[in-house]
Order: sequence, then C-alpha cells, then structure tokens
Amino acid sequence: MQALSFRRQMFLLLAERMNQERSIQALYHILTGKKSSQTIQDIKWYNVTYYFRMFPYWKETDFEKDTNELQYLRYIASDNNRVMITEQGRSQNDNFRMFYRWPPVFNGWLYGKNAAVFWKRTALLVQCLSQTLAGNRRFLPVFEDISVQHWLKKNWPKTIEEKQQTAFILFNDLRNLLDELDERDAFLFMNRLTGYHLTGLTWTQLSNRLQMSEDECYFRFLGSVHFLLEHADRSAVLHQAASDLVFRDVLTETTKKTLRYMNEGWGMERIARVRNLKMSTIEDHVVEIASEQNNFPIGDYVEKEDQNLILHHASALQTKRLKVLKEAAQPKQLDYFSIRLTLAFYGREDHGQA
Amino acid sequence: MDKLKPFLEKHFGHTTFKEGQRQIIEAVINGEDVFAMLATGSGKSLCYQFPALWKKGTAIIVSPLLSLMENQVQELKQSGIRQAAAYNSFLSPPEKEHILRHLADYKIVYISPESLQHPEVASRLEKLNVSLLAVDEAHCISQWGHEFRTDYLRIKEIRRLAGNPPCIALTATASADAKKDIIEKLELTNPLVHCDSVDRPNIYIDVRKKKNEEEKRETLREECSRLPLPGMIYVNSRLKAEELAAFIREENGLKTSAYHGGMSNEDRRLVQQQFLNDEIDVICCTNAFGMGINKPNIRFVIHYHYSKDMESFMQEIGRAGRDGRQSLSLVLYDAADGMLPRRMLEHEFPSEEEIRMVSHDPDRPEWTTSRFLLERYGLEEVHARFLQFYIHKWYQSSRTQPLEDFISSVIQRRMEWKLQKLKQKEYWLHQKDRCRRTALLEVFDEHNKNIVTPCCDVCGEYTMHVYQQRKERESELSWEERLKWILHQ
Ligand SMILES: [Zn+2]
Repeated sequence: MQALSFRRQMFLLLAERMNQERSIQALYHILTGKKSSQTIQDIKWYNVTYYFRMFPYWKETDFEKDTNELQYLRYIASDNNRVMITEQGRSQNDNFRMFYRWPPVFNGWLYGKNAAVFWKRTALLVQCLSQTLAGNRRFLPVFEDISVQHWLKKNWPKTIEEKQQTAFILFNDLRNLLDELDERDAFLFMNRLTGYHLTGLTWTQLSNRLQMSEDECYFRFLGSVHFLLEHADRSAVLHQAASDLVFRDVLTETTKKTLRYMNEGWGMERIARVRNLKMSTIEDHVVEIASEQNNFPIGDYVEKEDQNLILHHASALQTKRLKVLKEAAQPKQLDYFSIRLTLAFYGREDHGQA
Repeated sequence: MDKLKPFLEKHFGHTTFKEGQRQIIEAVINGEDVFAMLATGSGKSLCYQFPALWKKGTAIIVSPLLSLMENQVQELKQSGIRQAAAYNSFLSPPEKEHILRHLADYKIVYISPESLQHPEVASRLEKLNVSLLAVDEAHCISQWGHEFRTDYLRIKEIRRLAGNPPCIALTATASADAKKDIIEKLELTNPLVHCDSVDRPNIYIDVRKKKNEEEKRETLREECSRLPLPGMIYVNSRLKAEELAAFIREENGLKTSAYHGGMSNEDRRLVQQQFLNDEIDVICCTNAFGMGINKPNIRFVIHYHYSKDMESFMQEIGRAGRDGRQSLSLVLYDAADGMLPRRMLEHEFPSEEEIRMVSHDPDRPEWTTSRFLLERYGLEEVHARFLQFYIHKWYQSSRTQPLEDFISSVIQRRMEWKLQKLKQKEYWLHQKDRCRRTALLEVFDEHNKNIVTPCCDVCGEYTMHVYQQRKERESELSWEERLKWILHQ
C-alpha cells in the first residue's frame, strides 16, 4: 500500500464518513468550506464539522485530478455520481487512523474565518511588541489589513511598562497553552510568528523543516490556532484578540432574511412570493434553521408520528438517503421536505430525541 | 535665509541634501515640471515628499507596485508624518471610501495607476487642491505602457482634470528613448532634466555561455558554493524559481527561498522580510521581486534566464552592491533560452482571433469598457485594457483604417519594437569583442565611461574575493526558545 498525499487521505476519510451517499462535489464543498444550505446540512447529518474548510485553497481543477487519481488507484469508485469507498480505501483509512495523531482541536465550522482574524491580530500584536521592545520602530508589519490595524491601535499598550507587562503575560500564556500541544504543532505556530530579527517561515520552508507536506503543515497550524481560540479564556491577552468575534453566526445571509419573516409569523409560501424565490429555496432555508435552532417548532411542520417514523428508519437502515427513507415509510406518503427537516433537526448532537 | 534646511531636518531628520535633490525640490516648489533619473538609494522619494509637505494641498504619487506604496507610507508614518495613505485595489470598499472622503486631509496619497482611472477617484481629484503629481517608476510608461500599463498613459488626462499641478517623473533606469517617451507621454513642459549616471562601478559584469541546462546548473552550484552571500537568482518562471531554490538548498546547504507571483501575500511578505534580515542566503525569484527593495549588501545577482531588454537588466543587476562594496552580475545562458521570452512576447497581446471578434461585434458600444470586453469575450485583463485603450484611440482618430487593421498594426509595431529590444540584449550577450560596460552604458546615452577595474569578462577575468567567512549554520531554535526571543523574556 502506498502513502497517499495528505489531501487525498483526508478526502478518503471524509468519503467513508459520508456513507456513500453524497456526490464528489458535495465533499468538495465541505473541504473547501462552501457556506450553502446543502453543505451545512451535510456536515451536520454526517457529523463531519471537523472537515469543514480544511483546505479552503483547494482548486477545483486540482481536486478533480486528485479524485480521478483516487479512482484510478481504486480507493474510491463512483456510482450514480455518489462516492463509494472501496475495500482498499477502507483499509487505507484504518491504517492511517491507527497511526495518526489528530490535533486536539480542529473545527473549521465553528472557527472558520474568525480563526484567520484571530491569527492576524495575534501575529501583529506579537510582532509589534517584539520590535518595539527591541527599540526598533522601522519594520514591515506582517499584515496590512486596516481592520486588524484598527484592532491593534485600540488594544495597544501605551506605556513601556504596559508593553513589558503584555509581553510577559503573553509569553507565559503561550508557553503554557502551546505546551499542551504536540511538539511540532507548537513549532508550527511559533514559526509562523514574526518578531525582532526572527521572521516567520513560509509553508514551503516549514514543509522542508518538518518533512511534512505543506497541506498537513497548514492543517496542523490551523489546528493550533483553533486550539488557542478554544482556550482563549485562559489568557487575558488572547481573550482580547478573540472577544468580539462571533462564532455562532452560522446561518447564511439569505436564510437570516427568511428567519426574520418566519419570526413575524409568515408562512413559507408567502415568504417565497414576497422574496421572489422558489419554494424549494425557502425549504432549504427552513431546513438550515431547523438544524441550528434548538427551539425550532418542528411540530408545526412535521407530525410527531411522522418524525418518529423517519427517525426509526434512519437508525434501522443506517442511512440518511432521502429516497431510501421515503420508500421505507410506505405506505405512508412522506415528502422529501419533511424527511430533510426531521433529519436536520435531530441531526444535532445536543438535543436528545423527543 | 535658507528655509529649506531647517524644514529638512525637522521633517526628515537629515541635515544636508544629497546631490541633485535640492535643485529638483526647488524646481517642484516653484511649480516647474521635472524629469529625474536617480540611482536607487539616492533619496528619490524625498524629491516629492519634501515639496508635498512644503506646499499647500495634497500630493498625488502614482506608484505601480503595492509593496512599494505600503513601505513608503509605513516609513512616513514611522517618521511622524501621519497624513499619508495608500489607495489601491487591495483595500476593502469601506477602506477606499474612507480615504476618498478624507483626501483633503492627507498631505501625500499614493495611488496605483489603475485606481486612478476609476470615475469616483477622478471626480474627487477634480475637486481637490493637488499640490503636485509625482509619477514614480516612470519607466513603466515606456517599458510597459503600451501593453501592460495602458493606465499609465492616461495620467496626463488626470493631470488636466486636477488643474495641471506641477508634475515630477522619477525613475532609476530609463534609456535615451524611454526618457523622450516619458516626457512626451506625460506632457511635461520645459522640464528640469536631471540624470545620474547609471553606471555601477563596483559591479563586475560576467556573461557565460553554456551548452545546456545541465551545465548552467553545474555552474550555479559551483558559484553558490564560493561566492559571498547573500545573492539573488533571476529566472523567468515560477516553477524554475521553486526548483532552483530546492536545488541550491540541497546541493549547497544554503538557506534559500523562491519568490514569485504565485505565492500568497503572507508568504511573499515573509520571504521579503527574511531576505532583508539576512535570514535567507539566496533568493530565487521572478521579476515580481525587487522593485522598491532596498537591501544594501546583496553580493551577487545571477541571471539564470536573461531579462527581456537592457533596461530591465540594468535595473536587476543594480540591486547588487548598494553598499558600494565589490559585487557581481553573472548571466548564464544557453542556446535554448531565447525561446521562452519570444513566446511570452506573443502572449502579451490579444490574439488575431480576439481582435477580429471584438472589431466586428455590432453590439460593442463606442465607449467600450475593459469590463465589458472582459465579460463578453472572456479576455485576459491586460488584453482587455489594451484593447479598450486603442479602441478609444481609434474613435478619436480620423478612422481611415478599419478598427481591426488599426489595432493589428499597433500590435505589430509594438512586437517589432520589443523583439528588437530583446535582440539588442542578445547581441550584447553574444558579442565578445567590446567592453560590456561600455556597450551597456551606451543604451542609456552615456558615452564617457570611467575606467573601472575589475570591469567585465571581456576586459579581464576576475574572481570575486570572498572576504567574509561563511557563517556556521546556527542551530535551530526550539519553539520555546523562539517564543522567549520574540517576546524578550
Ligand atoms: Zn569592461
């Protein structure tokens, strides 16, 4: 068995999780972090938030090449545009899982773009502290984004004592937090930072140093950032860098609009008419909302009895494929919307079955 | 009493002007136009920054490169001049809006030539009191203007719009032709012309013909094992930059990195910073690297692929030895090297097919925008801008020629001109009977060369003396040591 590239390996793991029920495209959207109703549904149903936005920079053409190669090597097969994992694929995955140490945190779904902002703030703060405390006022900042610079200006320690104090706290907090990570994850994080007479390394350079692919370097580095975000409360300085970032803002913009109408008591048809959208689009929105909100009034949309029927078959047949579930429920006639809605609502981990 | 000197000391921290600076600054303050060719590192930017602060109103600095703008704004702010901003396409809409709304509050605004074309920018400039218009890296007008930076050619329109403020054109390298071209294209009237010599006597010029790529690599490996560091290697593709960076790292055990347009902004900044801090020994780059970089101690510039004309070559080797110490320019070439620049030349222009399509489209409006061309025909951006510019030009002309012929003939003229530039460069490489320095300087209309030793491979062989010991590779820091160092604990 040959070693797969890190990207291909991740794709293969995800393909196994998706239970042979989704298209290659759907997997692509998850790995690159496309925020659409369908992708959001998928990552919840299959509980694969871990993979969301793992490789936001993966180009579609490269992706095609990668997946074609996986087919050619017989790790996956395609059936009716659904990705099927082969026996060889499964054993490749088993093998990988046996030896791979995952980073303690990786959650592209929860931290996504906010991780980038948090990283930029932290990196710029560290660089400015390092340079100023060395008495150097002439340097090229690692990030130029005005919003990040504004944040720094607002939080910049004024006096020299305050600067020393901030550096001291940050040093201690980072040392304690990074110490909980694998050596190389801490190394990755520290070597992306730039300071006085020590410039951060590029992905190519890190990849050479650690003898690890650039993709994996990027993934594990992001894992370290997510880890720091998750534990930001343990550090006054990091907390400041994370404090105004909103993490639960996960609905798409258009869905939020639909939600506002629903909160005013409007029915789905009426919303579709007023917003000049297709009924199926509004259904997508409602499904998205159901998956996000604990207090979603699912009973208004699907009879209790039908909910139970759907959940029963989903669990007995170990599937989330709509067509299969619809057939299983016969003679009862269920529509796809009810099935999707039920699965979305109960797909959440944090509320038990009714 | 001399008022300029106290002003200089107060705002820029210098006590004296460098050669030529004072004359230029006085001219601009008096409202004259200026053409200045100044060696890099000779205080080019002071020539417009000084008058910008001195005069009432806002100075507009047109600058082609983003990093250059950012550097300068940063430097100004660090020296206490806070009313400076850079306006370019990388800002977010609110950031742009903020700068535009407060234009009059700034003393200096850097702006990219393409941003200058936006209607909202132009209309704000019309109402602004513009103290002066400076065009930095003005050689772009001639060297790139017709294909890549048609937007540069419109600067004169913007100038009229802004009420004809004095204009200063600055460059480090412009051939005699280019100088004439710049003055003409910017419509400078009776400008003060100041030209430093482009000669760099501390750079030894060496050209070596090799049989094939294999031999070039071998020479590269040898040279990198003995030459003083740091150095630069110019190549003409991203892939080659990556490949050679890996090659030298493995073969010579040096710290290397590639630098090219395909890398992320963040990584490009890191590489640039590492190089400036002497954390990299050798950088393998495309011509995307270099402009605006002022690193004094670069010891060699190797051209693994030769540049497309003598002007770019002069600019690129001029990055070596700014500290005045002995440095080296080395060109390695083989017979196959002429193919890629010729192919690239063709890609610089829209194809015949595209020209035909655009010329004969009955739905194309008279005032075609480049966006229209981009979306309707799927053209590349530079091609779209090129076509837009010449379509407008055609409408303004007498239109005796059909549009298609008009554009084709423009392209043909430009191609021939560029090809001739390339051939001039190749002729210079091949010939072995004239001093390379003499021939190089003639391109810049300089005919009285000083005697320089060591000079070039034609005048006499020279092996660069390695006066610095190669440093031991410092051991890698652990993450904890790095953290300690960065945060001064
Ligand atoms: Zn000579």
